[in-house]
Amino acid sequence: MEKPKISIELKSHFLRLYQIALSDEDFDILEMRMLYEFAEERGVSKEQLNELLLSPSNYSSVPDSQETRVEYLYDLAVMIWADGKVTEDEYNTLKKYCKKFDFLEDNIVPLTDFLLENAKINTSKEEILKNLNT
Amino acid sequence: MENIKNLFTLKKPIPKVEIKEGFDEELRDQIRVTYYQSGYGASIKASGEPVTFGVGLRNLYNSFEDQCRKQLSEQQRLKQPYIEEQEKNKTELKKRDTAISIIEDQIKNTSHLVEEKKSDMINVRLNPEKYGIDADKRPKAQFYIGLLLLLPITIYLFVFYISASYSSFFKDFETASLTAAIFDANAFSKALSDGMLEAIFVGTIPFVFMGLGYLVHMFHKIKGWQATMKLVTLFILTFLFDVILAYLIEKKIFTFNALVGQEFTPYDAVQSVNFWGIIFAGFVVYVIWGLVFDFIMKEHENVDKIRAFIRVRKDEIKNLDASLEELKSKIDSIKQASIEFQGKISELQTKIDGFIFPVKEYLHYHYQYKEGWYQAINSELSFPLKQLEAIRNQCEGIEKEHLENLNLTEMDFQNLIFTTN
Repeated sequence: MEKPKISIELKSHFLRLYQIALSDEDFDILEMRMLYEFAEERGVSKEQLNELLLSPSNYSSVPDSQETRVEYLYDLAVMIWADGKVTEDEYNTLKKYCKKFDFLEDNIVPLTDFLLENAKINTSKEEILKNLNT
Repeated sequence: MENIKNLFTLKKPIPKVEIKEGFDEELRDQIRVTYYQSGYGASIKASGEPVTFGVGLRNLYNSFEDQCRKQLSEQQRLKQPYIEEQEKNKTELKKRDTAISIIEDQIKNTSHLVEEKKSDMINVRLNPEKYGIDADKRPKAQFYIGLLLLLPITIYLFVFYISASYSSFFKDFETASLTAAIFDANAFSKALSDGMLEAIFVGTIPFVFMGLGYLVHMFHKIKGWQATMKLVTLFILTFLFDVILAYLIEKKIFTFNALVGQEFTPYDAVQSVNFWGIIFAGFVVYVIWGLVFDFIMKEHENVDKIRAFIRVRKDEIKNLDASLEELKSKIDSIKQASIEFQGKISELQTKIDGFIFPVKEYLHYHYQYKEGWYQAINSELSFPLKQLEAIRNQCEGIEKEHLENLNLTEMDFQNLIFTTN
């Protein structure tokens, strides 16, 4: 499978996600490290992450609009597919974010699967967001 | 489609518990008026008596404190900034912990690498093939044995070529003895006595052969038919040179012994034992010298390869050590910061666990009570002005003392925190 290119925009999305994870009590240190390595493997620069890790917290919270939440999550799904495989850790992380972004408890697993499936076949973000408005 | 849309449904937001500020304000105003009235009433009853005023103030303080302790939601409101601050610090602490665990891992990996490099340095001598070095296990011994052989052969070549070149180019056979035709023990001193240039000529000729031997070694290293061709040419050249030397000597001996009319021909030379003797004593030994030289150069390179390998490893270890130091100092500073955050968190925790006394609010009520008390003195007491003045002054002193006792004189903060309940 051809690796989708990770854009700067995607990377900055990821940094925001990482920030959210950092300010969340649910994420433990190990998961944080996993995320860190996960980002590093996909070309988010170590400097950016270090800066994030050691900078005073600029409070970041879950985005307000439903659209932005879906956008963030889909970006993460795309990043997960960047290396052509989905590990259990990555799957759980995505699930965790779905939960954190306040999607219905019963939908967490189907939503995670939906995002990953679409990321796999390179569905465009617009296509995904269209589902929200129909 | 509907199904997918449902997937994106968000949980219904939980309504936030709003603190009813409006209601609170009303209540506060009521309390304020009550304090004023209570001060006013008490003052009338006690005729503005200062000691009673002091007791009244203490009572006011105690009842206010008691009331505050009972108002849990109010306490929660007051503690909110501390809780938020603690939350922030906890996030920072978690970040530091993550950084520490990442750096600790890096340190572990780096130390492991250093150990690996160190063992490489030891093992490379025993097992060079493992590290891609094509070398003998004991290159040093072989190198020294080769060198031991090369030195005498070199001396031999010097002696042989000095004497042979002297014999062929300069020796006068008419005066010299025939027995020393090929080998002349005094070749160099004779050449020296003949002239400086002659001595230099015979003295430097052996270097030409060594140079040829060195070239053989260098061409040996290059692969390809061109190098092989050059190699063969070199050997042929050297051989020819030896042949010429032998031929010249042989010719001189022949001319010395020749009868009138006899001509020296190459055929005569080929038939002569001396001719072949010179070639073998020269060329064959030269070939042997070349081979030994080639061999020890190779061994020397092997020793060099291992040394270079070790040198590279040493440099790598040095770099790794430097980065290790850097990581360690980094982790130290992060640990320091993490301890600071822990301190802040526990400090905030004691505040959160404790009781917050709203000083400003208290003072507000306190002055209301005082105002009520003084107003009563002014309007309700029919004492002479001087006496009223004295009562007011005494009351002022009592009030000051009261605030001093409570440590509330210089108020530049909003709340006073009692760390225990």
